[in-house]
Amino acid sequence: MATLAPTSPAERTAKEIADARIKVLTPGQLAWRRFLRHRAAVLGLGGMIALILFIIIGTVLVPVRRANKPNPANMLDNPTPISQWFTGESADVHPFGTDATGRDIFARIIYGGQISLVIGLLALSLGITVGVVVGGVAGYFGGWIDGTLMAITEALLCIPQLFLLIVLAKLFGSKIPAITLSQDYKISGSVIIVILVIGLTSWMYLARIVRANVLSLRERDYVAAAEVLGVSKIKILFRHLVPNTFAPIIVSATLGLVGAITNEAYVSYFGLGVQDPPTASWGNMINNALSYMQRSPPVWWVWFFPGIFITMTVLFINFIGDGLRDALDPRRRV
Amino acid sequence: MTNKHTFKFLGLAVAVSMLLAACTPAAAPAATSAPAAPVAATEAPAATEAPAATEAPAAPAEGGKSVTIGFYQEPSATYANYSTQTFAAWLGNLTNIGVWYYDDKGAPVLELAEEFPSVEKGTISADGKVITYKLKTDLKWSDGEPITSADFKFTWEQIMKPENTGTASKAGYDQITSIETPDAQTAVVTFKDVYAPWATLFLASGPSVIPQHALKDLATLDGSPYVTTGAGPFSGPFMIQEVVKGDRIVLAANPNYWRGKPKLDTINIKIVESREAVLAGLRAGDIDIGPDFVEASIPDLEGAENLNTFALPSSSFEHYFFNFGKGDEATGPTGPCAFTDVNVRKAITMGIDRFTIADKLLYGKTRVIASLWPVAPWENTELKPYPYDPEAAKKLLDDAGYKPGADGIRVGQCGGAEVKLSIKHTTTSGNELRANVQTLVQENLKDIGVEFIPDNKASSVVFASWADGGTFTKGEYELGGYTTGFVAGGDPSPSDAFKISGIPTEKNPSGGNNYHLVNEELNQLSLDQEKAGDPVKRKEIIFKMQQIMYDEVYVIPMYARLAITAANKRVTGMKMVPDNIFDVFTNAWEWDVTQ
Amino acid sequence: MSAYILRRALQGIVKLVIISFIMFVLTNLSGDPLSQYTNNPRIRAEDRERIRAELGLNQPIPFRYVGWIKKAAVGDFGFSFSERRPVIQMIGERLPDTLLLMVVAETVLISLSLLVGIYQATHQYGLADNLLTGFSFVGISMPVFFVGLALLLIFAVQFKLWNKAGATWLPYLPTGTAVWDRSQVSNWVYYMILPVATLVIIQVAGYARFVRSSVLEVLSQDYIRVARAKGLIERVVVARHALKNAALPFITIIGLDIPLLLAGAVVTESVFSWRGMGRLFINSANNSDFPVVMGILMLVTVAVIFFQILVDVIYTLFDPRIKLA
Repeated sequence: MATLAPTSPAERTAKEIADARIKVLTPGQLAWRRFLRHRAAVLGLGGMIALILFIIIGTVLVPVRRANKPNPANMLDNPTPISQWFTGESADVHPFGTDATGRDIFARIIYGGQISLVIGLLALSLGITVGVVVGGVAGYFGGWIDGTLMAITEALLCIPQLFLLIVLAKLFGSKIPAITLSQDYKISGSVIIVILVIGLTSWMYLARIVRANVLSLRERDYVAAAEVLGVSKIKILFRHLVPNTFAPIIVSATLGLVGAITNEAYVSYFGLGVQDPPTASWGNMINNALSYMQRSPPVWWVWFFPGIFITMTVLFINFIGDGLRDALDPRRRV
Repeated sequence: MTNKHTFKFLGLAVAVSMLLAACTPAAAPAATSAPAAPVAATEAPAATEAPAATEAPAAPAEGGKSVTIGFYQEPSATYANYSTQTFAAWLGNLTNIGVWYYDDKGAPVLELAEEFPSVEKGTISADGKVITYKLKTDLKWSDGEPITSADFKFTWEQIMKPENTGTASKAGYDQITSIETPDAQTAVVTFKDVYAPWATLFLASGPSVIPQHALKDLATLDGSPYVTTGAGPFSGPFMIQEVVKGDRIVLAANPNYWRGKPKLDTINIKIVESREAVLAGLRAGDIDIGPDFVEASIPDLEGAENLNTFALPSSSFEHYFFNFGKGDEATGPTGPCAFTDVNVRKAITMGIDRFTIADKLLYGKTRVIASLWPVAPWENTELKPYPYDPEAAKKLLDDAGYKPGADGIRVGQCGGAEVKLSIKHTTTSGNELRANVQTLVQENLKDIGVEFIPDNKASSVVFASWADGGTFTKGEYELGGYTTGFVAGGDPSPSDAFKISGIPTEKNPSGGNNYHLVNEELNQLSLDQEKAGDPVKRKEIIFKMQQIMYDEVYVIPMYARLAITAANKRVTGMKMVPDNIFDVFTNAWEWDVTQ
Repeated sequence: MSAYILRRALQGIVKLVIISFIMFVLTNLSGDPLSQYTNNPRIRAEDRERIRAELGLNQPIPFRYVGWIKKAAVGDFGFSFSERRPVIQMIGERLPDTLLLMVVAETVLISLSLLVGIYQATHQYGLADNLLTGFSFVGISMPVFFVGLALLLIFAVQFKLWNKAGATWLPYLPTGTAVWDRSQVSNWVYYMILPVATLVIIQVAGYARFVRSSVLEVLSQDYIRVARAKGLIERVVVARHALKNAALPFITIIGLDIPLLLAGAVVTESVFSWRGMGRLFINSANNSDFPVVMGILMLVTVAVIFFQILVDVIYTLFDPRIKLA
């Protein structure tokens, strides 16, 4: 704008108007705007919020006992028709039916959802942490450190993640005892195992990307300046270099979250993941689904609802991820 | 240029193949371009060609009567003692005979043997160390050669031969010092010492008797056609005609079987991928007999109109057991202090509604047992299972000094310290029935103030050996659970399950006393029954053991495991014997088909 | 070129050795293969000890590894613990079935995603585009077994029920490979429809979107404008220019994904009881049958490395701008 200070009232008003019209936005705000323009992403965000609210409200309204209390008189019961949801006794209403020991599936979806989502987030965090550290260290320090770390990373990348998951789940399975959160709510130690296992098998992609970014960034002037000033290498790495690789980390995070939730489902489906008594998760509710299919009439509600919820969650996160990718990298054209 | 055409062509090819696929189910079988697999002349049409949308049962083969059995595991050897699998044992039952087999009353049915050795007839020596087997005359192998005592001796030699590295079990045969064959029908077997389970030796589900004339020139049985491709010759009702690895085993009737040619002409053993696939095949009529189902399949099997379901409580049982380790080198890590009080154990037993479990989760097909020898004649039927009585359980716990705390879980004094009745239960993970049982038990015990926490581990961890950190072996559990059985091949020996010397320790890692129990009386009785050659005396000892275990509630017997086989209604003459191996294949010579 | 291939191959071998060591240690620590005999009354403790010694499980792990790698280097993966026959034989029996499934699925997948992707690119933002995008997103979001189970439920179980209830014209698909005659092609097709459909549905989304974006990217290039200006019809423009340039990255993705399809096959094979390598892997992992587990892992890793190199080579051959690093 004008470099000279406004003198007359007319000029002052004009300047104010002009200033008001051109609001300079920060990159974050710009990204957020771009995100909002992406319809699917907004849908995804809304859906995810709705899902989380559902689980939170569910946890408050539905006692955990309901998810774990078997009822031998009412095993594998059909889902209660919607017309009866509010008329019958609340203990008898099973919107999603009951499972093989008579436990209410609706309640298990809520509490299983907590577990699945928490596993997803924690495993993701573990994966990101390990990936960033490995990639950053390898990229910044170079030399034999780089060589060794990358050799291991490349080697592990060659094995399909599911195979690695199965082997690790067998290895670490059941080494950690159950944790008691409250009188009725126990978390199987296998939850921690699953988090560890998924985290340890998903860091490799990110490590490569972070390394590449760090490699290109470390030649920059500000890095040289910091080194000359005597700033410790670790500080340089984690205070300056890593934050500049923010965008790929975010993108990788959404993919990683999707992967973590899906992988938890796979591993639990094979019986190697979260152990059912005492803890439900969306994945292990689908365990043994096949044997139920053969009955006449087929029992479908046991696996259908967890599957739908997993699909919805992954779908929403995928939409969000798509939006984020667009928002953070405006050069992409799709 | 070329790319356009390539992609268009690909697209077309895909469209065409999808069209073809969509038409196929309703159409007649398309002309096959794949090379036909070698098909035996009498292959039953039970393996349907057209995947037709009908369910008509297979028409009888041109060549005669046949039956299709579905195995979901391929026998790893065609000689039963070269494999540890149950499926190989069943194949053995179909193709070979042993000295006898056990029927559904637990009585021996003679096959090779002319008579059952006994002291009165003089065929068991006074000191019990020498057993004389008299074989029937006129027994023939499927190739016409006679079955003689030379084959008997040869079998034992082959089991003990170190070059036969694939031998699955030498149990018992290594107690034999010599076998004499004074004539072609007599074999005199001398044991090192009195071996009480001698009657489990030389059975068809194990080493049976193998043909000396065909195998005597082999340096080793490993990899030989007899063991891998079923070259024979055979002594049983059927002989192996063809083995197609990964697909099927074709058996043909043995005309030289000592009871005469069986009624069936062929048996097809189809190797299928999983139990679900066997079930699907049974319902579709493609498979006639499917053995070894799990309890969860019962509603599906019984719901099928074309199937007969055989579900018998077998001699195997599921039990929950306490860790009696005392925290020393001899017994392993300390089990929960509360378990040292018999009243606590009794309370827990009465606090679990085993009857509803048997009723609901096992569809009422099995029973709650009171002893670990749940089959005739070894079962002490005087003992009745402890009832489900939560009030009595609560009283027992109150009297033992355990009062409910603020969270409902009982707390009391034991061994000078405050103890909470919070118990971890360990069994194999990934087993739906066990998981469901745990869910119900958890609920039951909550009602009486005991906290029950499932802590399952993979089976290859809980059953691992000492060196591999096996949970039960090392005593790293509180309450455990698994299936086992002591009656095998008609013999009731619990081996070292209750012996003090059987407790697994660093110095003795392969003991079988997973309960880590030290009870002098049980220990002595275990040793005594091994030496008791007289079945009556043996039974007395086993009865006493059951009484002690009942009074002291050392274990909680949950239910007898079911042996489940399903067969198409067209197959007649099937009988099931509740041996440890859930056998239906012992009387295959009697099977017939109605169409 | 050949120097490059040689160098990559050597790097690949180094990777293989690293992987084999890590995986060998991990698998051998994860359970006891003899535990399955614990409750088998025919196998006593002495027998177990004898078998343990025979299988070499008494030796320390590094020792076992050396023994294993010496044989594995020449392709001998040893004998399976549970079936006592060569691992190569066991894998060899199952591999064709898995390959068949994968090849057919891959073919259908490629064709379908090309068709869908190109259509979407040329009819951008139309209703069909948005619908397809929506469906394909749902497709990638569903876990593999869910897709398989849902397909089974509808096309096998439910159709059969309706068929029995009176709609006899309704064909239905089987619920897994029960008894069937392996020499009849029609049988194969019948049993493969559902597993192939499962594998395709979960992947087609990603691929189609990729094709779509690649084609779009290419279509906005200058030389396309030139081609249009020259008067070429749109279809020719797309086919001759756009496709050719979009094809290369597409091939890259396929090449890198093919070995990963094996992992998807693991779950699909489980759901449909398909006699393939995936099921063998799961069963062997559950039984702690280490030689088989290692054999399959090594095979898959070799495939991955091979395809990585192959894809790089193809890339260079087709795009003269790329210089081999």
